[in-house]
Parts: sequence; structure tokens; C-alpha cells
Amino acid sequence: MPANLTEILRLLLLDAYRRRYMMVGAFMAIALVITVMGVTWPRTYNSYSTVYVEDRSVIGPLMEGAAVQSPLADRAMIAREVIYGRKLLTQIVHTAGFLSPDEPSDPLRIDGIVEGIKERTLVTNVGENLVRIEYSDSDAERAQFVAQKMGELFITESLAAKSRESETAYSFIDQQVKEYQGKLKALDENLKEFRNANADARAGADVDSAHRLTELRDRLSQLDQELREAEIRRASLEGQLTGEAQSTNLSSRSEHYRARIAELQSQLDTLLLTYHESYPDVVRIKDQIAELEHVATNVDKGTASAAGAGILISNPLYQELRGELYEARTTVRTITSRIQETRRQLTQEEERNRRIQEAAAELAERTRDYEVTTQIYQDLLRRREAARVSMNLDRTQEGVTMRVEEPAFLPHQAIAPPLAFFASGGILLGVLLPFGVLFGIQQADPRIRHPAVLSERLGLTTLGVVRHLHTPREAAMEARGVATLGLVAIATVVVIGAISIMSITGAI
Amino acid sequence: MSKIEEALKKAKEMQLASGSQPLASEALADATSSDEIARMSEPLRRSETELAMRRIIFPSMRETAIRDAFRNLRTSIVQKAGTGNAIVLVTSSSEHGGGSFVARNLAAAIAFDENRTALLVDCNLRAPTHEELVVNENPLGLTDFLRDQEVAVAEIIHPSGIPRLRIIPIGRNKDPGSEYFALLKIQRLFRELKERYRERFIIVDAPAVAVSADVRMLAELCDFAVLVVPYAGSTDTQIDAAVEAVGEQRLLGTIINDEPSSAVLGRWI
Repeated sequence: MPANLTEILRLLLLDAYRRRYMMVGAFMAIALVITVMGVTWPRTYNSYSTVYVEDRSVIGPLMEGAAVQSPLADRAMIAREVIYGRKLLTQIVHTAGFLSPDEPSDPLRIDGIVEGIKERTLVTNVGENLVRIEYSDSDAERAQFVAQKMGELFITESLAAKSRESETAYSFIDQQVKEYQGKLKALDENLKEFRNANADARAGADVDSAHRLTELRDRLSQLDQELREAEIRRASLEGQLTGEAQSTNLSSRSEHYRARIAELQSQLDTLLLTYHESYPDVVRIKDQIAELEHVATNVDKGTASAAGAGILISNPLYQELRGELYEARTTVRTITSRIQETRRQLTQEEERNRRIQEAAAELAERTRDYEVTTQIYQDLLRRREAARVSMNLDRTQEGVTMRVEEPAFLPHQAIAPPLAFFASGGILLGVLLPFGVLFGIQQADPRIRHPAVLSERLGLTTLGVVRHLHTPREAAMEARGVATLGLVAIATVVVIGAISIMSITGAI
Repeated sequence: MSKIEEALKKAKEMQLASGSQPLASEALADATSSDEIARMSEPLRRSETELAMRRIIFPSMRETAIRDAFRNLRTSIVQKAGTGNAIVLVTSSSEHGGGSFVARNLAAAIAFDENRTALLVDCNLRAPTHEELVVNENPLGLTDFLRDQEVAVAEIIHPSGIPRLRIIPIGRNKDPGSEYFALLKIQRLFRELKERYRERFIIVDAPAVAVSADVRMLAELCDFAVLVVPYAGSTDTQIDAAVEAVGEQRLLGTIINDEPSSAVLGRWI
């Protein structure tokens, strides 16, 4: 092939002219076939219904604040999910007359029809809350019917789904309520048990205990004071006693003892009015009495043996001091034992106070749990009531949030590529395709057509190009042939035009 | 048609009446000059219509492009030949390539010039075509000369009805199997034809290279060769073989023949 574009085109034209009968024949065939195709192209009718969809789900407002609501997706997508569902489409196949009544319901065939419907259905979002369901069919009435039915079924299905959803929401909340109820009961029980087990764990126990502790501490310090005083007194008496003679008169000793016993006896009687036998002071006085009686008896015996002698009479001051010393010693012992008792009580009280603190912390914790659970439980109870109301609303479809906004219409105008498109396309293709094929043949043909190729490939000089020389007869025949071909080509175009016009005016 | 036939008949009658033979006029043409050429006997002049029917070019034809193509070819050959004449072999690279058409028209183009003559030698044993141009009925030709000692050169050269164009037809022994061209006699014939008149160009119409081995032998006898390549008819290999057969040193060039044209839309295509 020569590289020059005009030469390539020239050779193409030459070959086209050489095969002019084939070229015109191909043109006629292609143009006519495509035009006929355009005439017989299946017509489709398009219809749609628009559905208004409320943009809210039930569980959302119900669980607001208590649970996170998942974001609502594209409405058209949800609608598509419902409409393209097998259930809905199978219903349409059976009601829209895709199957003749006497036809056995073959699942494979139904599958095929369902797929076809899916392909011809278009679900789009046209507005904020509007979903358009578009359906095309070769039958105008069926297009309308299916578009309408799809809208209605979509609403029915969606409402059923919504009702199911609110029921699910209700049962979910209800279940939660029951769960919390059980939990609350268990906590209640727990708290009661704890209170029973810990007597100290009651309100005000800690204050009481603190008060008593202070009291004990006060008493203890007071006793300490008393003890110190008693000890000082005892020491001073002991000092005085060493300076006094033991006795002045023996004979009076026994009387002295008697007097002393009587004194102690009266003291004991006084004590017994207020204290038990076991009270330390009582015990001690009893011991003293017993000891004094023993001494007194011994003195009596001695006196009897040494009768008349009248040797010694005990010193009264000494005796008195001794008595006082006894008393002082007794006081010291008494106070010491009281201090011990008070200490024991203090330790006990401190122990109790610690227990009370621990129990209070534990109690506070348990009470808190209980209170939180109670709060949630009450909240859930309220929500359950709201859910019950929504469920009832959905059940009776009182709160309808979907409706057919625009019902499907009966389409009058078929949708098909315009016939003019086929006619002009056919003519164009009828010209281009044979030329294209011819060009391909030329490209593939190894035979030489142009001097440039001879010189390029074989290095041969070309002395000239001789074109075909027609005899007068050939020329006349060619003229006739060309005229015929021209007429045929024109006739083809005219026929195509006529077909187009007839088809547009509805004659065909 | 009837007019042409009448003309032919008339011409024959005239020829018979005068008793002159074409070879007689050939014999007379001893001296080499334009006067001699002018005095060449032309027993018949074919009309332009007849030439057009036989696909032969003539100066006043309508298809000037074709005429000029042959004129240019002639000029190339004449230039190459220098002052003298030449034997030019015309063959085509494939069968039905139009070698005979080119040879005949090349001869016709040479004969346009009043100072030159052309002699077309039909060596195409397989498809001889030039006999139709010979004015005489059943004329003696090349094969007769080569076979028969009795036949003289002058007896095989015939007028064609075109001024200054003579033809040696194939003759009566059209046996394609015969090895005529290896004979010494043909060598002598060609030498004689060339040397007799310096204005006479001899055009040898050889069969297509692809179908006959004659081309190789004929090429040996010729000065130049022209290779006819039919439009969309030969591949590289065929052309290579043809070039090799005629000999590259002898090859003047190629002619692409029969490129499609239109008698109706000639102007545009």
C-alpha cells in the first residue's frame, strides 16, 4: 500500500468501482435490513409509581438516649431490596399475567420471568422521601399494572416489616424489663441479708459508738486521776505510820477489831444495796471482815491466856492510821481494777466501731447498686409502655408513614429508538461497511496495485500506468450499468424513506 | 459493424485489383528515408471506430491519459535506443496480464511518429492475438518462416491497417509445444529485421513469464524488455521471477496495466 492517504483513498475508490455491483448490493441489503430491524424493534412502554416513605424507624425514637441507633441507609436501596425480593416478584408474576392460566408453574420459567422483571425495573430516589418505581414492558397495560402493583406491594411489605420491627422492639424491651426485674429482686434480697447479718450496720450506729468511746475515754482519764490521788494518800499514810508506836494497850485491841469489823460490816451492807456479791469492793470488804475476825479471835485467845496481866493497849492513833492506810490501799486496788475494766470496755468499743465502719462502706456500695438498677428498671418500664403504644399503632397502621404519592399511569407513547436513527444508520452503515471490508481486503491482498509499491519493495522503475481502455460497447454497457446502480441506490433510499414515514404515521 | 465489414471488403477488392502484394512493397523499401516510409503501401486504413473497438490507441482518441501513457513509454524506449532502433520484448508477470495489449499499443504509439515504423512480432504461441489485425486472410507468419525454408521474410510481414505499423503474425503452425525460439534461424531473422531499417522498432509480444519458458530465449534476442504488471494481478514473487527471466540489465521498467477506470465517471475516478 502506498503511504499517501489520497492514493490509498484513490485505490479504494478504484476497487469499489471495479466491484460496484457488489458494493451497491451490499448497500441495499444492509440499509434495508437495518431499517426493517428498526420497524420490527420491540416497543416498550414505561410506567412508574412514586411512593412516599417516612424517614424514621421505630426502635430509634424508642431507644433514644438508651441505645445507639444505626444510621438509616439510602431509601431507594431499601426499596430495591424489598422490590427485588423473590416474594414480591413471584407475586407479581402470578398476578400480572406473565403466565397463561393453563400453564403449569415451572419454577425455572418463573425464575426466568423474575429475572426479566428485575432487569426492566428501576428504583430511584427522586426526592427527600420519594422513591420512584419504574417498570417497562412491551404491553402498556401490563407496564401500568406492574408499576402500580409494585408500589402497593412495596408499601404492604414495608408496613409488615415495620410492624414486625416494632414487635421485635417491644419484645426486646420487655425482655430487658424482666431481666432487670430479676436483677433488682436479687439485689434487694442481698441487701436484706446483709443487714440481718450485720446488726451494727444500721443507721446511726457509728454515731452512737463514737459517743460511747468518748465517754469511756473520759472515764479512763478520770480514774487515772483518782488512782494517782489514792496512791499519794497511801504513800503519805505509810510515812506517817512508821513514826507512830504500834500499840499502847493490848486489852483494847480486841475491841478495836470488833469496832473495825462492825464498821466494815456497815460499809458492806451499804455496798450490797447497790452492788452484787461479786462486785470487787464487796469481795474485798468481805475478805477484810474475815481477816479482822480471825485476828480478833486470836487476840481474844491471847488476852484470855494473859488475863490480868493487862500488858499492852494498842496506840489509837497508830490504829487509826493503819486503818486509813488499809483504806487507802483498798482504794488504790479498787481504782486499778476499775481502770482495767474500763480499758477492756474501750478496746471492745473500738473493735465494734471498726466493724461498724466496714459494714457502712459495704452497705453504701450495695445500696448504690440497688439504686442504679432501680433507676434503669423504671426507665425501661416507661419505654416498654411507649413501645407497646407504637406496636399497637403499627398493628392497626394508624401511624402510616408510607403511601402511594403518584399512582402508575397508562403509558401511550412507546419507548423505542427512533426509526430515523435506524434508517439513517442503515444508510450510513450500508456505505461504510462495504468500504471497510474492501479496505480490509486491499490491506490483506499481496497483489500489487501501485507503482510506489513496485519501487519500494522490488526497486523497479515504473514507466507508466495504463488504465483500462473501454471499447465503445463496454462503455455503453458500463453507462447502462452505472445508471441502473444509481437507480437501485436511489430506490433503496426512497424505499427506506417510505418505510420510515409509513412506520411513523402508523401505517405499518 | 456492417460499415466496417463493407470497408474491409472494399479494401480487399482494391488489393486484388491492383495485384500488389504487401511483400512487394516491403521489397521495394530498400532505401532508408522518410520518403520511403511515406510511400509504404497502406492497402487499408482502419477507422477510428474500428481502432476503438479493437482497443488500439489513435492520436485523436478521447482517453488521452491512456494514449499519453503509451506515448511516454515510446519516448523512453526511443531515448534509450539513441540514434538507432531496437528490439523490445514485452511480457507480463502473470497470465492474462495484458502483455499483448501493451505490445500492440506500444507499436501503435511508435507508428504515430511519421519518421518511424513499428513491427509487431507475435511470439505468443499460447495465445496469439495479432493475426486479427492482419489485413490478409490466413496470412503466413513467424512459425511458417521458421519451419519452411521456402518462406521469405517479406512474406510474413503484413500491413495492419494502421499507418507505419506492420505485423508478423504467429503463422499457421500454432503448436505451443514447439521449440522455435532456440533456433539459430530466429536469431538471424531478428538481426535482419533490426538491421534492415534504422527507423523500424521491433516489438516482440512474448507470453507471460509464469506460463512459458519462451520468454528467457526471446529475451536473449532483444535489446530491451518491458514488464507488464496487471493491476492487482501479481505478487512480489511473480514479479521477481519475471524480472529474473527477462534479465535485469535488459529491463527498461514496468508498466502497470488495466488500472480500473470508468468510461462514465472518467473524470472523477
